[in-house]
Amino acid sequence: MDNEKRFEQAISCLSPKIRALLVNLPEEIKRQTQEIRLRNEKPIVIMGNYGCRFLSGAGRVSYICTQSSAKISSSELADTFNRICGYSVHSNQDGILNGYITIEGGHRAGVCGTGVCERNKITAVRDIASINLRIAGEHFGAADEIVCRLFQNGLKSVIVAGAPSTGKTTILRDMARQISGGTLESYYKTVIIDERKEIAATKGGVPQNDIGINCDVLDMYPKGQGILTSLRSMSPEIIICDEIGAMDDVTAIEAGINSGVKFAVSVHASSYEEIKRRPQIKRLMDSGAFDYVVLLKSGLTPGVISKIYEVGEMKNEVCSNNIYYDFLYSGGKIFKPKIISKDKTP
Amino acid sequence: MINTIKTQFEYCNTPIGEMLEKLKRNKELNFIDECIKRYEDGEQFSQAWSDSVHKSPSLNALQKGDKEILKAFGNVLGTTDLNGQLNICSFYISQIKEKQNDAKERFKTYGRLYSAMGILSGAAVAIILF
Repeated sequence: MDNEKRFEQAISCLSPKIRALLVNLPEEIKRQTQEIRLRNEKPIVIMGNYGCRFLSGAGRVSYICTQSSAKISSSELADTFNRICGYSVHSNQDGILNGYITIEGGHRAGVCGTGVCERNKITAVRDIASINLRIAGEHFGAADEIVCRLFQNGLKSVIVAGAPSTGKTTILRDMARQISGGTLESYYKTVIIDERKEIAATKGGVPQNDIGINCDVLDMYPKGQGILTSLRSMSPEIIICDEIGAMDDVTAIEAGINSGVKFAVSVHASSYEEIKRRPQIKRLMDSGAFDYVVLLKSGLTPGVISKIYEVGEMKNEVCSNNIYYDFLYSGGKIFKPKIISKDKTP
Repeated sequence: MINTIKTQFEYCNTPIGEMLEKLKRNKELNFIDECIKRYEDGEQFSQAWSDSVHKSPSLNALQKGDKEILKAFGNVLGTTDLNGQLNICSFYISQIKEKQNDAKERFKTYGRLYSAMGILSGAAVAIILF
């Protein structure tokens, strides 16, 4: 499915009036749009490779917000929210509490509203104030660099790190497609733990995205349970899962590490300094199971690799303050891995 | 129908779309098929439900008040969390039961009256004729 069709699929969940405004946008805008931001009684904003634009009528966009910019009313926003839920708020309760709902095609609708708290825990969200519809992209070749550079001598365990909207999921999806689809010397047995339906976007048991031939999907499984289930039943060579955030996820990966299976996971971190500060990533690297950290570049174009770190070396940097790391790949230039200084202490 | 929906909420947490697809197989509930079509054509769900209930020939036997209950149920279907939906189902089930009891009472009271009136009218006609 090309990006224009994905855009049209994503906007099918919006209220008819807003959909009518978006469906007539120029093809180029549709192809490049990554986010549609809807805020109560505020102008509709679309964002993509072109930057930030305001809808100013059916099929028209402007660089600046004016009086004529199209706004979304409270009732339209409420209708959109209900449509996103498929008029089934009860079935999407967990998603709403986590702040997002995944819709058909793997698109994600982030939801903001008034939280209903009970003992410091959000138990419900009311008065929906804004929705951020993120259009899931399927870019064949997004993981070329990683597959070609890192997996030539067999599978490796990789952490893909990046800020939000840097293309982490897109890269993981393309990795699954290439690894299980025979791009390397073998059709590796791949399992995707698709907790939020974003990687494979399975519908009725059929993945809507191309994830390769030799790939199985544990759809909507919590990561921990998914990892253990796949180890028990699917004998995977590599397990792919998105957005490791909680320590529980890390614990689940650690449980699977000693089984000889490789992992490809993504985490939120936008710089080397952030990677060092994230306790989850530190713990994953401490486990010794990961070979590389791929850091994605923040910017208008998603899926651009900023740097690739070799974990064995960076781990020492993170853990003991020794400068042990180097870049394999930086800004399009490939460097051979080398240790700058083995015993240097700050 | 509301009982079935409540069970689906309670044990399967089924999305409304799936629930309606199952319910529309029941011929007496053919307004659901109409509702799905209207919703897919872009109408708001509550509006689609209300219009379908209003226009469905299979629901003509219902009294105006019964139809209003059914319409009000469609207004809130799927708009709250699971507990809310279960409470809503229980509320409308109790409303319908109340209506049912009223109807039974009315039948008891007026049923006898109408029967007696029928017999007396018959007797009167017989007397007049003979």
